[in-house]
Amino acid sequence: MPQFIDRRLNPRDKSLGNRMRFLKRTRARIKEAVDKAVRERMIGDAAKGGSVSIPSDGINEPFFHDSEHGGDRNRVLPGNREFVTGDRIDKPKGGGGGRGRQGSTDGDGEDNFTFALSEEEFLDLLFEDLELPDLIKSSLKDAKLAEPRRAGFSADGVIPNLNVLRTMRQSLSRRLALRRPNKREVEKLELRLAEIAELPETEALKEEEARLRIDLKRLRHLQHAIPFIDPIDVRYNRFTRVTVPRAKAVMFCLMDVSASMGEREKDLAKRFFILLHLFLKRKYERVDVVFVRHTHEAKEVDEHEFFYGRETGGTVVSSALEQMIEIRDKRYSPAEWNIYCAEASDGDNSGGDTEHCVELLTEHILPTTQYFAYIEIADRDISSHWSGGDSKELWRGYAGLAEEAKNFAMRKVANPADIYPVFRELFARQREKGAT
Amino acid sequence: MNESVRRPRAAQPLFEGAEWDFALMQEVYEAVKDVALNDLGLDVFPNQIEVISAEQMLDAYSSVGMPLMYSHWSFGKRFVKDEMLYRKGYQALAYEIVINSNPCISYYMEENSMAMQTLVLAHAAFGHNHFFKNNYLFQQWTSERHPRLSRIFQALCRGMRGEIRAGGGRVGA
Repeated sequence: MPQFIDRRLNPRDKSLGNRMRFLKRTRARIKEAVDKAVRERMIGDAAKGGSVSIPSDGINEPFFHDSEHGGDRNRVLPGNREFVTGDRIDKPKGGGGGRGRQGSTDGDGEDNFTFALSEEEFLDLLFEDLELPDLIKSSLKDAKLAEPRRAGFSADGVIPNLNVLRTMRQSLSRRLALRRPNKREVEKLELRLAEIAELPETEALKEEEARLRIDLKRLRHLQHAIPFIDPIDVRYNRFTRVTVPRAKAVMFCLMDVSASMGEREKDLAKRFFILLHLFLKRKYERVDVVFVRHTHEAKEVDEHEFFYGRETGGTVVSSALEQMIEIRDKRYSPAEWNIYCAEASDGDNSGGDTEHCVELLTEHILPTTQYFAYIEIADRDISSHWSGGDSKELWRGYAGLAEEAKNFAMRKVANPADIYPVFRELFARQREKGAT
Repeated sequence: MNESVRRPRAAQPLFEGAEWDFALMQEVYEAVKDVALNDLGLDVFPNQIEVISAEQMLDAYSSVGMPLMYSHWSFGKRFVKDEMLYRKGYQALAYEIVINSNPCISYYMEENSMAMQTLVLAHAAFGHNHFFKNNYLFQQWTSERHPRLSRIFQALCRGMRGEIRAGGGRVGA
């Protein structure tokens, strides 16, 4: 008698330990490759995980094999147009040592080892040692929300929760149990009666007719007595309130699109927004993005309009902040949503408006916002390490805030390559602040 | 095979269609066993038949087919490579793996059709099994006194103890 075992039920990832060891061994290399990929690829693609190539040194396994120099070999080869039975093939005159470039079957001959990372692993590496500010606090402590969850069925409830399928099933089983005659049975009898009425009268038919009439009366009575749907059949969907962590975040993207923001500035801003969005997507089940662009007045737009629409006008930053507050009040209650805000600007603002911005931020925005990040797109020649000097209007205004508020951060960005380090710094800085 | 052993054709086929289940496999196993033992006179270890998924087959590949194996980064490397080849369709996976042990353990892929399961049952659970039991060199491993798996298991335990003493990950990493 053989023993049959269904091993498919075993826990998965039996060789996860091996994979972890392999990842650990090649971690530094992979991390380098991931960082490089993020810098080079379009950020939308970078997030998709996928293959990274790592140099194979350090993961080579030595093995015994025939020397390519010296020794006699006897092999049976299929032959072709040039070689026929009995031909001898000269040894290749290999210069120097080392194996050829051809990929040997076990991958050892290749210069690079291509490693397919899952999106999960890819992002883990990308976001290694990053932590979104106050995340722990909000997701573990006060980010609980009572949410209705389906919890079976009940016999009482409100009409909108009526479960038709269940109700009909109950009804059907009751009708079957009580033997309620269905329409077809009644029709059959009626049909037969009609037939009899057409036929010439005989004793037998008369008798049958009388019997049918009694039957029909009984069936009709039963149909009336047993209702098609009885109140006891009715079933409702039941809901219970379950406390779940708040899993929704909204990200406000504010951008200055006045004439002073060119293609380069917008591209930099876009990359920053995308990276922040990715990060939020990873942390929350649902992330809404609201795009608000502004010149001297602000408007909520869709993504395409946000990045590619053309608009001219002055620059009043506070208009965007006001618009954001309005949208938040209307659609994103802070009790339900984790609110993040990213603002990108070239730092210009009309005179006197900056004070108003700071006031809006401190009184209306920062208290209900998880995080507010401001990036200033600097001129190309300025390195990301800002050396003080002539700061722009908005930067000077916000500088005080950055020191006071824990959930406010600001950075300058000059090149695409600066984005990612800046992003890291933004959150790293925040963590230090949080720790003190 | 001479005429005398030739059995009459069954009135009903054992199965129709590609779907398999354990009851059917059991039934087919009995039929295959009948042929193997009575017609062909094979001499086999008891069978332990396990059905595994593609991922588990890849696991088995990376640990060179052994049911128990210590952890090593090179196995992770193999897994990554085999998985990539498999996913891209460059390499199909084995239909079955047999382990030379007593009882004879064989793994069967869940993707196999019933016809394929029948073939690999005959091939692995009886063909390989007979050879394992009767090869004189294999016998020193699979005789009752030295069940192979428990030996491997002991060796593994020794290795793991060593690794724990060495502070996790130091050995072989």
